[in-house]
Amino acid sequence: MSWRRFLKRRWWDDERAREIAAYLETETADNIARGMPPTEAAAAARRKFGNPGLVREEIYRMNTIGWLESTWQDLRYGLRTLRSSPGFAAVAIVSLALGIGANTAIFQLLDAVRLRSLPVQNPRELAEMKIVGGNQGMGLNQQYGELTRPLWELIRDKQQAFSGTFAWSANQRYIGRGSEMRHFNQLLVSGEFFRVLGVRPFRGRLLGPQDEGACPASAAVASYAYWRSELGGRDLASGIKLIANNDLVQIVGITPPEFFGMAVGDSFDLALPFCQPKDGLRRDIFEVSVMGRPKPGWTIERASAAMAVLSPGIFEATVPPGRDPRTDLMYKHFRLAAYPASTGVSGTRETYDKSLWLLLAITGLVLLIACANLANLMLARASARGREIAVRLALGASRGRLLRQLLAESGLLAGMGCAGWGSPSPKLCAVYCSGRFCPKARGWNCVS
Amino acid sequence: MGKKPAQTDILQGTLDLLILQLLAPGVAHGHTIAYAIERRSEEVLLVEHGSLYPALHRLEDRGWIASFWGTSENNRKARYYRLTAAGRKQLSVEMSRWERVVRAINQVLHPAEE
Repeated sequence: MSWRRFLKRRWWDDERAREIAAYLETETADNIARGMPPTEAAAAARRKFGNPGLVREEIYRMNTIGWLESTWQDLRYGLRTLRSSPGFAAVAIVSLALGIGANTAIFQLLDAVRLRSLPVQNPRELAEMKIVGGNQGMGLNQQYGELTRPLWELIRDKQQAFSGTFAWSANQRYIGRGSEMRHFNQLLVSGEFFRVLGVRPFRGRLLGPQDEGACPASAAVASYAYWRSELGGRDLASGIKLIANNDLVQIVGITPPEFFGMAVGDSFDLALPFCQPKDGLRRDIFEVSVMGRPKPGWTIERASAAMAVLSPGIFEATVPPGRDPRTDLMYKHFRLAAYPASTGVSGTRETYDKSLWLLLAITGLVLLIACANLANLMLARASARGREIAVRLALGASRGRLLRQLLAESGLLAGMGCAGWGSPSPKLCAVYCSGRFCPKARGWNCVS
Repeated sequence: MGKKPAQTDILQGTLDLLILQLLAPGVAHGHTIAYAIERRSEEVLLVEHGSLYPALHRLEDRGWIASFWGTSENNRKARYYRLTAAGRKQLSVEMSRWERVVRAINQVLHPAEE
């Protein structure tokens, strides 16, 4: 198989045709010179040569790549037959496109919510520390909050299982003052948050341990999306100051575009460091999610066991005040464990997990129905095309060749179905994302 | 095609060798080569001159001969062929193989002469 030869096959065919013509001319002229009448001379020359068409075909066969040539022929023929019955083609392509499209849309959702890892360094290593069985509804519970701030500080200082730990919490706060006030999604992070995650700044610097201190915090980091849309993508050097939660903060850096925080489905706008309020931390607000990377060679199970050993002391030291003795006892018996957190946390996931899988199954079924439909259509068409196939068989087409031809046509339909899905997909997906299904998913990277 | 299978078989094996041999002294075009083979083989080989051309194409594709358009002795355009260096080497290879085959066949057919 030679591509050079294949690509030049038409040129060679022309060349050989001219050469054959030159032979015939020379032979005819020689025949005339031998004394034949001109018409006889040309016929005799052709007899001498044999069949020029056969000779050219033989040379062409030498140059071409058989299966490629015939596949190309099949595809072109398939296109012509499709064009000759546009109604059938349109129905087939549209039903396929819809089936594939619905599947892709749902799968994209599922992928973003359920399957994709967080956009940080080695997300597989991340583990989240939670109370086994939850906190039984005691205290105040915030979304994504699993532990209290005092618990976090004890874990940070005492744990031996992790090479790095961090805590974060997410909530909605206000930016601006008076009538200018607006919501923003706040991400509160501990000093080690960005370092342990391995997130590198897009601009400026990210928050570090030095930013943790007494309230109010004075430095903040903006997400890429927020910086582009709300801060106009302004240069940080000019000093961007905002009023967040009634305090002046300076934007010191921007996170990279792919980093949306830890909660899939909820993007953050500004990240602020943890700060120590004047009247101390409350022991009854379960507001932070604590995560870490186990030390090299440590499995999550081993880290989990180490946390369990540490638990009694930690919980003993942080009993929330003002509860009845039974609750206190329950609190002291809580145990910590580590759970894999490579895909982050997600309220959307917890709420919609089952329905997403169900939806995927349903759309899979829809695709199946579309395929069955299509198979029916093809079958009906095949019986209508019996005459054409009989003619081709009679002309010497082999069964294999006919089969290839029909396969090429089906392949063409399927290909066009896929391509047909390509054009409406972003729109459809946008409808899915902005609709009832996940109203909060503005920053969702769902068209990608 | 079923009419003269024996001849096509012979052609398949030896046409390459014949062409290379004929081109050894100098350039020639298809018409000349065809007549030369026909004449020298006393009209046994190459009954249809057309079958020469696929062979020429094959040889040219392998780089054993090269071709160019020129003007023939009686002022007609014709495609001329000449032997390349690789072709010359191939000629001696094929020649010795052919002679080996002929000798072997002769030894089988006439064992007494051995």
